[in-house]
Amino acid sequence: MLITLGLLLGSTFFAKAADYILVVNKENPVDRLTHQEVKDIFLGKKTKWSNELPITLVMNTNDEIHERFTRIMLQKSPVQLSVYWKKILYSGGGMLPLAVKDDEAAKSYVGTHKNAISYITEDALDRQVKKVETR
Amino acid sequence: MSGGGSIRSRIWRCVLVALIGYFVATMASFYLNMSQYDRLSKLVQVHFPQATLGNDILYTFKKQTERYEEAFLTGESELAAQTDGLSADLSTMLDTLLVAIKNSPHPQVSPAYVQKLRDDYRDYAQIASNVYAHVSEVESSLDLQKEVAQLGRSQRHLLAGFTDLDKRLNTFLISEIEENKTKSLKSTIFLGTLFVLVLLTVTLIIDRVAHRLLITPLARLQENVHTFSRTQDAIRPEQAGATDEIGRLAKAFWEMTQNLKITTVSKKYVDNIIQNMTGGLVVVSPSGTIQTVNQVTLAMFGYNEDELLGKMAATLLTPEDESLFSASLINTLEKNGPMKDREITCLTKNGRRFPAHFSGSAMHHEAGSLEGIICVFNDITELKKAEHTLKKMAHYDALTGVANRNLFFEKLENSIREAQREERIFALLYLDLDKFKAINDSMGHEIGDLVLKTVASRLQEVVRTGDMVARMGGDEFTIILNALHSPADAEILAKKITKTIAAPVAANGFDCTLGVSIGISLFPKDGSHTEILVNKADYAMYLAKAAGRNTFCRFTEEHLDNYLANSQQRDHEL
Repeated sequence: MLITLGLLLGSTFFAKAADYILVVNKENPVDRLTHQEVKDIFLGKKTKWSNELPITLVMNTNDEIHERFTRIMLQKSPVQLSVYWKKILYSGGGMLPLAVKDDEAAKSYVGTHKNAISYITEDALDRQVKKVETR
Repeated sequence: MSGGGSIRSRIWRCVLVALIGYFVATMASFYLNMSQYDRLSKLVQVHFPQATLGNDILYTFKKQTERYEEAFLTGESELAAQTDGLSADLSTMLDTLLVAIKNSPHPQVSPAYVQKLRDDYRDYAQIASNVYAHVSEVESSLDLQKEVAQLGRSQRHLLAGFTDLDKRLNTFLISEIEENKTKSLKSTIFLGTLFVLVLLTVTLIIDRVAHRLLITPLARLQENVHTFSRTQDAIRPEQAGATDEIGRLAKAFWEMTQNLKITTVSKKYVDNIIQNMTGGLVVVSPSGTIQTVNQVTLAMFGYNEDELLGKMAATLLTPEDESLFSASLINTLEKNGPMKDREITCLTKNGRRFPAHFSGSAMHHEAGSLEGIICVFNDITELKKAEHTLKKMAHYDALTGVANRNLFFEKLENSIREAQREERIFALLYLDLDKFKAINDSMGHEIGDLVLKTVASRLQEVVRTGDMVARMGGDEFTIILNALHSPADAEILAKKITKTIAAPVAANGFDCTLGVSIGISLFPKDGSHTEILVNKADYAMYLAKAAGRNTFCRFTEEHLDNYLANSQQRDHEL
């Protein structure tokens, strides 16, 4: 317990410098996702939840979080991700993901849309949304 | 069966068959090459341009989408505007392809399909031109995003369509090329087979035709020639047409055999003649050997054929006549022509001699060289006998059998010549029977003839061999006494004769007694001419008769004057 707490504290400590977390609607049964699953979802390769409902992507364009998320999670720069999605759009493979300007807008959208997923600053987590663990 | 026509027309028929075969093969080859040419032309003029066009369309569309993409990503509306320019090109290409496909007789892609692609593309180009010009707000405008996504889908659809079109056109081109290859191979095999078949067929037909038209008639003619040479008889050929050389040849041959039958004598016929001729035929080679003999010769000489063939012809002759078959015979025959009925003496196998007539003539080759001598021997033994009889009749007195006047004068001539040559003397006795006329008249001719016969035989008995008794006619006889030692010998014999004749002759139961008066002349003392000798003997005989009969008188010098006077008187009286 202590160790777990310690680890949590540790990770909290390291995440202090504005770390991100993945959030979904509270009604979404998903609790955890693998790194690969996250990557597939945000690059438009996985478009449906396990219950066959379509995934709605919400890009939090809060610069710091957005850049962290794209670089760590998707191994792309924000510009590269933008071009990536434009290419998909150009070839008719899908629409551009929804973009919101900060954590509040992201939480608000995810909290009101059952199938949405987004990422916010760790500190901004509140009751509107549910955190999804990543491994 | 026998196809008419000249050899020329027959050969032309063969050539025609070959030409027809060649023509068929050439036409087949021509047809196949032309259809291949058509297919290749179509390939070049229709399928190849279409495939190229399909390729160009795909390439241009890809280029356009790439540029639009670049313009979309970079927001270069200027590049988008430039890219719009390709739409016109592509649209034109699609139109061209559509027209080409509509015009091709067997379109590999349905015109409706191309038309739909073209229309889709035009719509796409229209929208693309509008949409990609305003891409800068794409993040914020969901409608714009929808339009872009829509464009992307139709773009994908079009890409798939153009790729499919290109693929179908190319596949068709490739399949056409493959088909051409297959067809070329097939026609090559077909033509090869056809040529071989035509060649075989033509060869077979020509062989049959040649066999039927040329070889069979010639073989039949040859068979006929063989038959003729074996049997001297030919089969009459079928009626030949006026232009059928072989038929005419066969007919000419047949006519020749018919003429030959009439005009020539077969060897058999000649052999038959030779074997059955009455004369002995011998053919002698130029070197003098016997080449041929007939049966008569063999019978005549008593030889077998084997014993004579190859022997010298002189074998058949007596040694006296052997020289007949000398080299000069040939020259004589060549110069003087055939020798006829030369009398020779032949020698048989067992040594018997017989007289024969020999006839010979030179036999020449057609080229002119001497082949041999044809000799014919005729046994003249019988002829000789008859001749002898005749001769006897001419020279001997039929009643008494002693020599007659003719022979007497002949022998007298001989005696004169011999005595002159041998320088010796001989005597001529002239005899006249005394009182013969009285016997003849009183006792008849038969007794007279008997008396004459008796006298003649008694005279024959008295004289020596080499002397000769002759009857001069009536009751007059002469005797030539050859080889006298002295004139006295003649007188001794004359005395002996008078005694002999004086002996009585038994005739018809009577004994007739008669005498003889003999006159003697001597050669050469009294003359060297027959007439003189005879006349002088005759004169002496008259003197003997005058002296009292049954005595003799020799002509002497003292009688000469009276003899001359007497003979002058006789000449005068004549």
